[in-house]
Amino acid sequence: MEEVRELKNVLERVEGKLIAAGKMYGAMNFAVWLAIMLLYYVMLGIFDIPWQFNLIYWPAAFIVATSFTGRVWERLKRLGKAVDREIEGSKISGILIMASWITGIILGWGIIPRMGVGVSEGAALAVGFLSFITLSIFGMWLVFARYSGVEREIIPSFLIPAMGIPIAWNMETGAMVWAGFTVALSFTLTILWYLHSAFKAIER
Amino acid sequence: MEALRELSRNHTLGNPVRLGVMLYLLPRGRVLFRDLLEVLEVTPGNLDSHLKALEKAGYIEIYKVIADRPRTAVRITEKGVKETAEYLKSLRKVLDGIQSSSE
Repeated sequence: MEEVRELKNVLERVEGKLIAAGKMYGAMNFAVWLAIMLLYYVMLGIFDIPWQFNLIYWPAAFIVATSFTGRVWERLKRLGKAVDREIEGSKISGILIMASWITGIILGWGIIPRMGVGVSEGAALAVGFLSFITLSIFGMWLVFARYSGVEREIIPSFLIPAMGIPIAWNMETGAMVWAGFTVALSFTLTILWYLHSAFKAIER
Repeated sequence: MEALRELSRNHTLGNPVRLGVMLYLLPRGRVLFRDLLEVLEVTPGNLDSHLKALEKAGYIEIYKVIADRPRTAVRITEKGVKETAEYLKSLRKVLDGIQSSSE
């Protein structure tokens, strides 16, 4: 019996490490998006960047980040199978995640800033940016919840930007920078939560 | 216990080195031969024979890459992912069965 208990223990530890790997990939995914956003802010401070730069930087950043996300997604699918958390209908879920980001871009960058929201032009942009993050990540979280399981770690990354919308709305100056810091904080908390879950899974 | 022995005997992954290779590959997807050697602490000949068995079963693919010099690399296949997951499930089921029958 001692042998069986020991084997079960080993098996549980193996599964714990596989779960931890999945959580670390989740953290890396958010870290990449955070780095891309912060690099933009750093460049804004160093160079006198024309607005046209956005037309190059963000599509390029989107391509880099989504290719990374795609690779992470493949690994998560593999790990999900091994730890009984298989991502069902991965093709459909992939399409739905893309759809949530596209909806977020259209609403957050296209429609909301033109609706006359906020007390200034900067506030309108900040409300749009926070709405984009909130809607896109909330959509992604719903897809995960439906097809794989509830990822509680993602909650700060859409809840904090959502709570920031009314504050950004009333900012006369500096709303966009404040919104950027809010999103950076929310992503950092998600990364920390993922890492905490990973260590918990290893130590279980 | 007999069920456990039976499972190990009749499965490609019943060998601990092969199971170790697959578990190391699962989160990574692909690794270099020399990394497997270091992690599993086996001889090159021993590892090579286990990798050949896994390749024959369709669980992995062995290929060459140019790193600091030409190196052998191993990548997990879709079948390998599925079979490893199934094996872990069976192992868990057998262990649960033994434990509950003895209680």
